[in-house]
Amino acid sequence: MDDSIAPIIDELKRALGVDRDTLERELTLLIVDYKVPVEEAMRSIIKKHSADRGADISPEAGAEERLNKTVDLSIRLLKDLRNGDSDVTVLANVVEPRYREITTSRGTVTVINGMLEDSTAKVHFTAWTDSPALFSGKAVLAKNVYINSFHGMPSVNVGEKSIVEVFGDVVPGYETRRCSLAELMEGDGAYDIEVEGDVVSIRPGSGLIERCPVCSRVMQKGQCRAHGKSEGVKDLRIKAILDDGTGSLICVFDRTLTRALLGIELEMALAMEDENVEERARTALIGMPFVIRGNVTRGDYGRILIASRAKKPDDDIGKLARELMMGMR
Amino acid sequence: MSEREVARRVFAREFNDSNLQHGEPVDRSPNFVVTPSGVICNRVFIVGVLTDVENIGSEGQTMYRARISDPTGVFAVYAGEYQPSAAVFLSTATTPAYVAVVGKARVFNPEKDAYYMSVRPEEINLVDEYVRNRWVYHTALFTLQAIRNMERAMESGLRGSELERYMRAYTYDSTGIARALDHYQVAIMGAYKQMVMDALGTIVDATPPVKGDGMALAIIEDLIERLDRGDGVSYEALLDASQKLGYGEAAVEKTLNALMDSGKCYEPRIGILKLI
Repeated sequence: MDDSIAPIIDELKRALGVDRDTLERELTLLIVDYKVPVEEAMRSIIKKHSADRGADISPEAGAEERLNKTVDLSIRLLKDLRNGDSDVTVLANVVEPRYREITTSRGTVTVINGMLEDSTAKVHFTAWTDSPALFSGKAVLAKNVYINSFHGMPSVNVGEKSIVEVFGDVVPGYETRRCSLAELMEGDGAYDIEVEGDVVSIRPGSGLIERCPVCSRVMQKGQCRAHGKSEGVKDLRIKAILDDGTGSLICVFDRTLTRALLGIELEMALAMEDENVEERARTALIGMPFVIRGNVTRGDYGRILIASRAKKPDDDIGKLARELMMGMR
Repeated sequence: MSEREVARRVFAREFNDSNLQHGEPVDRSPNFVVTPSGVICNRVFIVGVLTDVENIGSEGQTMYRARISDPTGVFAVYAGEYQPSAAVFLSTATTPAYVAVVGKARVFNPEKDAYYMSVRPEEINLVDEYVRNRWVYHTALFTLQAIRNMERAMESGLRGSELERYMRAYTYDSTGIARALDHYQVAIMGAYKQMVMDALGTIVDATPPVKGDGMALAIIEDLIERLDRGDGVSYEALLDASQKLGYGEAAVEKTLNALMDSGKCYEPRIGILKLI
């Protein structure tokens, strides 16, 4: 066993009550195999086992102490929410809550919507009943909420049977998280995540396209699937397949990103043949690595990453390779 | 809708050592190759140096054979009439060149105990040295992970479906690992570790990419080249064109400085820019 691991095992065992073998296996995996720094390895393990037990604790606050304050044994991390889940408990900060009038089949109702965040994700929420706790500026513990899909991403619904309590303090907030494509392929959509992968294909429907002037849907041969034949509005986009070796996703780049990626203007595209723009996308992007930020939505066409930013990775590969070799010795 | 097969990253040597097919040879179901470390490949992503292209077509049939070299060996890539864009690419390609290939793993088994691995390309494109180096690094990471999984499998003492269940907690390749352990001489893992080490050794001196936004660099460099009619580009004209592409003055300044620092661009006269 690695010398650095033994003292941590004792500490974690006291705090989490997890058996020694499990801790040793997991710590070895993280520290010896993956070369994760010790603090990060501890954080990861505490998070994992506290999530198992439903507590929200962080190593900084002293794992043991916080465990005793465990409020609910079934708190779910926001990143793990799936459409259709019910009787869910979440602990999250409320971001920009506001009252809104919306029209439903039963007439106009006033709801509260906004975003909920914890350290793992940010998700949209709708409260169908008035819950002043949502405006407290503090974190809330929301029990018996249910999850459905909103704009292709999981959304928390606070209904009549839900209980929303102020949780005293704010919890650590969300910062754009780096995800593997494997993780995203298992989820039901995600808000503001970052991935790194290689473009392995350019799909048909890339380059110069026509949008319906009414609904902005992409038109096929001058036909919108909802509004029929009309004079389309020309636009540029790229649909690429991104693959990071763990999973693959369709990634859509809008006109702004398309022109940044291809160095091409709509006017220039109009002067060329359609295929030329697609061909240009092929030459510029296939086989190329990108770091992409955006939302993953899940809808009729499967999961799609809607890119909001894209850049080429600029890791110092020589340095990373040296570090990996040192770790192997 | 069937899920798209993920493009696996494997080194040429391990790929070429493979001779285990997996999956029923039924119509339209994908064929898989299991590598010695248990990686189940249908689609692969490779980046290497194109070292040779041969036209081996006969009787009016198109067929190109290309060799793509990575630090551990050579991938054989065959493009025929059903891979038109790859065939066109190869027909005009010059060697050596850094290329990326997305393709399907194929096993050719002409007689008993004779196996030839190749890649049937779906996409092929020119890339640069940085992309190659990055691929070597990432493929090293994936390969080390696969070796570790295999070692864990060996240590467990389990076999077959029991092993498969046990490994499911660690990897999506549990099926491949169970099959590979029964089929291959897994003592080769030690040699593979050395192979990864040697591969990494070829990229340790790689220079980091030019600082700054890589995309902006490429685009502004391209703009200077396109706007230059022979005596350079004025800063104003470049700024004008860059702004149309969404780059503000600050970004252009920063990018130009990075281009000059890396010796790609210079200022023959004040306010005039030229590529080297």
